[in-house]
Amino acid sequence: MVLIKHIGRYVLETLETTGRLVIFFARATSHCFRPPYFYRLILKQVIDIGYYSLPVVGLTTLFSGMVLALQSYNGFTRFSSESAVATVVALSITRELGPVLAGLMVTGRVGSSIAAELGSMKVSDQVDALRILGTNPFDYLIAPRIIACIVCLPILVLIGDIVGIFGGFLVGVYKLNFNPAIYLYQTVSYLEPMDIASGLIKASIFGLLLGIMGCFHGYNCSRGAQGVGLATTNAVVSGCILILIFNYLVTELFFSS
Amino acid sequence: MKYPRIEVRELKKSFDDTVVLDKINFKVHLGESLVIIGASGSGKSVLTKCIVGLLKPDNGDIFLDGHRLETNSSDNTTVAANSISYVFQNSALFDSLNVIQNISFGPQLLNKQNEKDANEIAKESMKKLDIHPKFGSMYPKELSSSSRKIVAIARALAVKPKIIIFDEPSTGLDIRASHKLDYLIRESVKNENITAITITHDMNSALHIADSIAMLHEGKLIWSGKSSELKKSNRAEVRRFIKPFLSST
Repeated sequence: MVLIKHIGRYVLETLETTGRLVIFFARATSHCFRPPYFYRLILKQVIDIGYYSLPVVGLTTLFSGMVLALQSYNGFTRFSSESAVATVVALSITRELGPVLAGLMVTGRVGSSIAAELGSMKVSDQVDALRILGTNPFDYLIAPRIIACIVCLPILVLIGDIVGIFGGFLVGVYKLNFNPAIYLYQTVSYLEPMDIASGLIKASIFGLLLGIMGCFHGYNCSRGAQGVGLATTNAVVSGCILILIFNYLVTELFFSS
Repeated sequence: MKYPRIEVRELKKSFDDTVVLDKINFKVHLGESLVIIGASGSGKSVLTKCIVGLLKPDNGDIFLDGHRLETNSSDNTTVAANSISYVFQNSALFDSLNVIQNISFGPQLLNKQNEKDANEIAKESMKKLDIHPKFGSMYPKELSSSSRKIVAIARALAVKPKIIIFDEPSTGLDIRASHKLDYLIRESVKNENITAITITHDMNSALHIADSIAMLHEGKLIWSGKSSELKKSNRAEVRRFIKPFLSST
């Protein structure tokens, strides 16, 4: 009986949180499409989220591209298909690794910081102070962050794609002794616009997800330092999980046939 | 007919099954300073948050100059913002903005002034409260707690409100800083001809600031009247609350 009670309570709490998240999502996205727009704040967020995430995304995709070239070379030599290394690196980076790795890394860096910042503002009454001064927190705090996430993620992924392919090129040419011209030719000739486009669309969706999760957990953070810490953890964990789930759903949508 | 600046009628607020405010009624007139006293958990902050629109009362009405205030806006933003300013217990200054930007925030976003005019208003507000111009470029984390409170008052005054609410202004301050703050509140109310509602459990502050005093006890308004009459009250709860103060003076 006690077990059923616990399960029932857990189910109800999950449903309640899901409901609150859906309402928050609807409110937050609607505020992204209606004035007032705080352009200076959006620009600040673009710099914080986009520019300062460049090193982490660049390094992640660079080394992933290098590892991918090495691993696929080792695997493909068993089938005498070494020539496919460049194509596999390019396709894997643009379709999957670029958006997913950038999404996860930016969630770790930015999702946590959004949740911590909004959580601190909430517990120190700064969010209420905004309301008192006639400013809607959804316009001033949430919309700029979500807009910046949606705009920055595709740009980061595009840069990450280039860096990742370059990482594969470095290993291919300098370690595995591929001819540079042939490596580049094989990279470009099998890469279709849809491969890159699907990755960028995924990146926008991931940007929306990580922005929403960071804002939702920060904005609904409970009192005290413990509440802020919990909000930060929840923002990162839920953001990462949603990115992985939506990665499958979007891949299914684009490439299932 | 002359209406009170603010009138609270039959205000009720509960959280789950706990009644926090029970049928609260009071009026405050133009230029009057009301101090609400009461022990921790008596409902003082909930009452002022209902007035300013941060919490939605379960029942009852709030009137500003005879007009009923709506407190159930869908976006949870206060509709009273144009008329009521609030000074939070912990100041609630925006961490990411410096002192000038904090003070000019209201004039710019609430009163729709351009940046230059809003900065002028902020500087004027700083001057009135004797805040040295060198503080203008400093951030809240660089200020002492009493300076933060004074900046919070400057921010609240900068929007030229009809009513200003102070939530525990002297909490966490030493006696000297507390006296200075009391003086600033009193002077601001007098000079700007605004109506003030102050929450405190510090009787020294209360008597210094108040024209009239109301006491909350377990969610009920158990006493209200002129501050000079408080000591004459025969109610046991009032006597118990002011006893430590009376014995120290």
